[in-house]
Amino acid sequence: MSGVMKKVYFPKIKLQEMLMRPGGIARDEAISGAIESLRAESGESNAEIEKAIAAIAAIASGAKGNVLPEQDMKKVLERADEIVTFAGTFGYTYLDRAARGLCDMADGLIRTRCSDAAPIHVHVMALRLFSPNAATPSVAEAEKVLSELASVMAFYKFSSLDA
Amino acid sequence: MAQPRLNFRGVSVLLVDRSHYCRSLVAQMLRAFGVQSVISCETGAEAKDQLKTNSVELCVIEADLPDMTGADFINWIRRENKEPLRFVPILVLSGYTQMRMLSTTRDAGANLLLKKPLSAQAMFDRLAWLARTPRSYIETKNYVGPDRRFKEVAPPDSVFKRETDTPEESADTDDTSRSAAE
Repeated sequence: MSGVMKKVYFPKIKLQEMLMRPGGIARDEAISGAIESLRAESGESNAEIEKAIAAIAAIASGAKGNVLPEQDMKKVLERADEIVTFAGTFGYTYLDRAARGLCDMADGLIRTRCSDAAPIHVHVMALRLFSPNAATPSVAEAEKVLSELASVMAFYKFSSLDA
Repeated sequence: MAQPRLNFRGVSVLLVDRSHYCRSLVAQMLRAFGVQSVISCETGAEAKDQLKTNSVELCVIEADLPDMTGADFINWIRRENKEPLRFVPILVLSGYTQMRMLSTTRDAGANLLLKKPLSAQAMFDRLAWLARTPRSYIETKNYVGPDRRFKEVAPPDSVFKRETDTPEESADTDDTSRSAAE
């Protein structure tokens, strides 16, 4: 018999009681209200995306001799992650894919202690191309850019954070 | 069958995320559901301070905070507080780069995990699940929090069922233990 002490119980969860009270909001009404409210935010979101891209570009341009210190690489990762969140929320598919690629790249560079700035520059160009304020690229153009980003990833042999 | 309804009137939520804009998006979503009080914090330390003077019914936190991990914050709630805060439902939001941290937040005692980008549908459905599903709490030397194993029950209506599902297949699904992590 195991000597491990284990307590199992059902505590009172106030949230459950409150949510299940009569009245409230129906699922469809709640979701459509939330979507409407988020849609009103999309202008501000575009500005946030532009700010994040500019911040990454500024960090990358600070690289000396194609070397980006780990601290800066972490900042790139953080800003790229923000872009993934915004792009996903507002349905910017290509931007989302390019930003995920940058996250994978920066994460791989940090893990392998490689400080190459060149792949960051390449991703910044892609982010600018796919930013909400840029002219919409054709599907063929977008796929070509994304496949080139994929080949940069393949060169470094990094895997996706999603894998 | 009638749609599920949730009553958010009077519900107070603590929201902790490093990004001001992400906090604003989640807060808007919650307000659209009817939540009136959202306490918004950037860091774990700020959130701990807020919890000393405010009572909340739900915590929504990022998997990695600027000053501590989400797991550290959850451990603090589950181990160093008395009820009702000790049992407060905790929903963890993970950015793309934080997905490796999801298992540690689950093992620290998170109730639900959600990947960003967040959709209103996912948020409402997870909260509805939380409201309707009684879940035991486990306390051992190494873990304090909701039972990490639970049985996924059939959907409340036929909306999500495939036409090809047979009753036998549904029964099989009901017996499958699933992890809370999604």
